[in-house]
Amino acid sequence: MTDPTLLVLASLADGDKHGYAMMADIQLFAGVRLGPGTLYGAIARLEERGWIRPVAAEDRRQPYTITALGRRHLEAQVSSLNAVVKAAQRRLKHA
Amino acid sequence: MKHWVRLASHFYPASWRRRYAVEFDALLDEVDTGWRDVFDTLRGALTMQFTSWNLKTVLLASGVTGAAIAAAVAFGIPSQYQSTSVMQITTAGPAHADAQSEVNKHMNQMEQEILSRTSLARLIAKFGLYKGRRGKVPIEDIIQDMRNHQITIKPVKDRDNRQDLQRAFTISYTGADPILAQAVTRELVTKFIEQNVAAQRGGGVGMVEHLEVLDPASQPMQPIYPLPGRFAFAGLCAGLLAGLTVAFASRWRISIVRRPAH
Repeated sequence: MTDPTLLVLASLADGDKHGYAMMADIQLFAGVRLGPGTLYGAIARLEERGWIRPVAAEDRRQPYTITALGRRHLEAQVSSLNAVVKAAQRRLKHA
Repeated sequence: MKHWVRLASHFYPASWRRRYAVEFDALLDEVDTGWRDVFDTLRGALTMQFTSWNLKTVLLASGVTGAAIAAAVAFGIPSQYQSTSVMQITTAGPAHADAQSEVNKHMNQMEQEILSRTSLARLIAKFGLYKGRRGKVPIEDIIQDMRNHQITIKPVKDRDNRQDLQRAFTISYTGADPILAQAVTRELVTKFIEQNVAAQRGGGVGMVEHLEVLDPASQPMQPIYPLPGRFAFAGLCAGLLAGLTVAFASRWRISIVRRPAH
């Protein structure tokens, strides 16, 4: 899974984060380093769709939180990915 | 490197910069950046520019870019000049099928002789043609190239469709130097005349009587290739097509992503 929007949503699923925190978190749980352009492209798209929103910032770093809509989208994507993973695992066992 | 990433971020649309520039700068303060990040930011900025434009702006930008690139490529390609001469064969007897066949046969014999390996190798040596290629490419390849691309011998179409006693044809040579192109064409014309005289002396020309030069080898003033205008037009069309494809592809992608989750 390397879709930046899903990675950002997954990162925000366990709490609010600013850009650098998301980047570090994604690298940790997915092993993918998002470049600054890719990260902010994803943030802009997610905010535009109402899946994330900015929260109060204490400094220049802007934290974001996942919205209910974003959470539903993430859940739908994860269950769809789960189905693919289970099917693949089943087929690999029988192969 | 952070400086280059910041520079690349200036390519984002103004609306994006108003909204995200401060936090983007704050992010850059914290991360180690490399060339990959410069390209990543540039790609992100251009993608955002492209998706925020309307179709008219996308087409205008891609068309102008395509035309500019094509024109630049055209100016980078060495110019080719063509010199042409017109000759005419006249038969002595009445215009009938035998006379036409005699002319065709005589023309083919002269062409074969003039375009033979020996004849073209002499031409190359005399005018010092293809100096740069001679050391790298076998002479056979150069000669084949001359026959296929540089030298053209073709009949002049009879506008009145008359079946008379004359047959006109053009001889052209194309090269990078206009003066040399004219000299080589002149030499080819001379070779035709020499061939005709030799055939007449040998008595092998049948009904063919005269071979005359109607137009001497022309002095090329303008290159025939590349034509920057045509290149630019082709680039404009290619740019418009690419712009249209990318615009529709990106809109389609966005609409797929925006489809509500079940």
